[in-house]
Amino acid sequence: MSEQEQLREQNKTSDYKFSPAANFLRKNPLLACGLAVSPAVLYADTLENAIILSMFMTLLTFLTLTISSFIPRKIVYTSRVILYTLIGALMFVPIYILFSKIMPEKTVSMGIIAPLLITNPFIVSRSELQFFRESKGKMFADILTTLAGYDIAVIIIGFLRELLSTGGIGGQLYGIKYTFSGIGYPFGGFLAVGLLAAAVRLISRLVRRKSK
Amino acid sequence: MKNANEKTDIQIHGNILMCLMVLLGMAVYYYGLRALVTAALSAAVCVFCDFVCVKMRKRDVDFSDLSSLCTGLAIALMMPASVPYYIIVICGVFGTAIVKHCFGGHGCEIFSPACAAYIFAEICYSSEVLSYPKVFDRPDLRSAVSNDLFPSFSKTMQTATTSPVSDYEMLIGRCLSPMGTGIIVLLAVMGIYLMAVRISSFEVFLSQTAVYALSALILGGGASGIKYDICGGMYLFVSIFIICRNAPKTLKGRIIYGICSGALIGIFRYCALAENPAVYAAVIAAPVGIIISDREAQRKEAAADVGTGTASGAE
Amino acid sequence: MEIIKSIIVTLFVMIFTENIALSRSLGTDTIVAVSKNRKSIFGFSAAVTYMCTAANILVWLVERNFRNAADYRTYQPVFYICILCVLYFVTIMLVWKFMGDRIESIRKYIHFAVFNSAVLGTMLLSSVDCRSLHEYVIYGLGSGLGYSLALYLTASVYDRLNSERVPAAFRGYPLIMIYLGILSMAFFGLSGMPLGTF
Repeated sequence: MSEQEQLREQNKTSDYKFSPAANFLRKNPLLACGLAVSPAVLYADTLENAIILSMFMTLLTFLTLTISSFIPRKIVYTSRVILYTLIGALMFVPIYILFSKIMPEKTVSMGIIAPLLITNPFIVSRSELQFFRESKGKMFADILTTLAGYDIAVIIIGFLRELLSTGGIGGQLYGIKYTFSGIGYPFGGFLAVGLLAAAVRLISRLVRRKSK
Repeated sequence: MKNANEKTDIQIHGNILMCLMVLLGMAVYYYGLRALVTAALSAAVCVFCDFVCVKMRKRDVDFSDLSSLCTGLAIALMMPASVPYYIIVICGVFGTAIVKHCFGGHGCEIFSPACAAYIFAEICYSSEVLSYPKVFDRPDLRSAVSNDLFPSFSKTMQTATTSPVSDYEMLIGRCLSPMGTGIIVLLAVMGIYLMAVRISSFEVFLSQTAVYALSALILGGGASGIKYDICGGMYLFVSIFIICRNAPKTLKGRIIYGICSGALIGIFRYCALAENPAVYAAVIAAPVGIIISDREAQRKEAAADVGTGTASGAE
Repeated sequence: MEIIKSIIVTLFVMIFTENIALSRSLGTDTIVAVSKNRKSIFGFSAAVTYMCTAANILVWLVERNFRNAADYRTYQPVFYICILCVLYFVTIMLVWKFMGDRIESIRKYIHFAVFNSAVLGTMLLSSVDCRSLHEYVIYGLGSGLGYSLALYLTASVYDRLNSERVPAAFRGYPLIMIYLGILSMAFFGLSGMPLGTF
């Protein structure tokens, strides 16, 4: 049996169901599944930081997963995971250099966040559990929608945290009288993710009830 | 059985409310009408927020539940008399909606809503929350006061070699401190009363204070500062009304809980130089208390199963 | 005596003041995932502590030889990922050799324990703060113990965070985040300022 046929067989028997639209709400990787929380909590305290984080994460993860998808499943699981992270590390270097050229100060301010993205759960675990079990077309759709769902969540968190902690966005104040400077700190990130996750769960339940 | 439990809850919170009202009375004497307005606002916000959250969760409102009233008063008494009203509102909403109702409402809280709300306010608005008016220097009723404000007595004693107030003034609360947490004599009386009626745990208080005093000797560099540490930093208020209130059921559990909370207070006081170490320690010690209580409950269940001869299921 | 004192102080700082999970918000994904199963807390905590300590020893070797090389900071993550991969491989081999029949049940935990932002974060942070071997070792050990504390505090109350009395929208993951947020807020009082990414 060819690898594609094997994959189709696995898909039939596995619990995983391909539903790319769910990656935005019901199965949002950050707000529903709790994946890659640390970078969002630690770095996405402003809209600008959130956008940079999402760009870096998307570029690194997409390129890593695309190349890793060609690693044959015959190779033992332990070695496959090692190869995925090594590919991630190798992809990190040119992306980091690119970001350093485009926005040098912001790249330095990312500190350890940028290299931490190499071991993000999309590369380390979701790849085996979800993405690489699908055919190539579905896999790309799934990866892109998952990353888009993560990026949207991170950007919303960054936007809200900056608005609530400083009263404005990007230095532009909007006349909000009462601000919470604590929201800009990591504990504020946890609270923001938790409250947004609850809101997303409520919204997806309401949407499901209406569709029924 | 349900009625007895409800009465017990009313009794507990009724007693606490009574003690907090006495402290509030003293705060009004020292700081004027503003103390009363702040406390009333805090209590109103907490009760209203509690009502809204209960309705949103589609549950019946329990009018005998005095816990939100106690939370409101506790928040007010932990604040300076000059605190802007919007901070009180934010604390009330944060403590009730997030710290209480997100975790399941009354009886399911892990953290003390008052302590968590205070920490949130202290971090977000440190200059307003950690600046105090002098006693009898009655702040006006506007949200932003015009009085001169000063750092607290606890903060001053972290660096000073001599106390700016006499021991007598410290005991009767005539020093720069939150509205209701500096009146040591009253707090001692409240503490003895609450321990006598078994609402606060004496064992927790004793073990906690012993460990805190020990940490003062080891980390603080001597015994001379112990009295200021016990009388300042909201230690007595938080210990009596929050830490010792949520004690485990068994003696062993209480002693362990007291040791943990005392150690945490010592760490916050001498290693982090926190101004109000007891508040932070109360929040971190809360899950420790729950872990001890849950273990006790499991052991009791296992012992009951053995006693009745039934094999209990695996964990 | 001075070394013992510095070891105790560093351990204390890493477990409380600069707790890798609660003060620096690293490794929270695995805390959320592992706290559901209370039986695996001890093993997983031990695995993460071992990884942090062992990885830091190898980081010391790398830093000794390459710290002053040109553009080292750009290629540093590559070295560190290689260290993690070597550790992962060696650990799997050791587990297979000594606990052969249990490898399938343990393998995913080793996987989570190695490729974990707490472990990689510890390596990256220690490269800034540490110089001598014993500093790296104590940093790694303290970091692992701090992570274990956060995991234990979360796993012990997981049933309460997932109980029927919690509003449905908050049950489980959202409430774990709020719980970690409030704990992190209290730990913030220990450090008194936000710990930077460098």
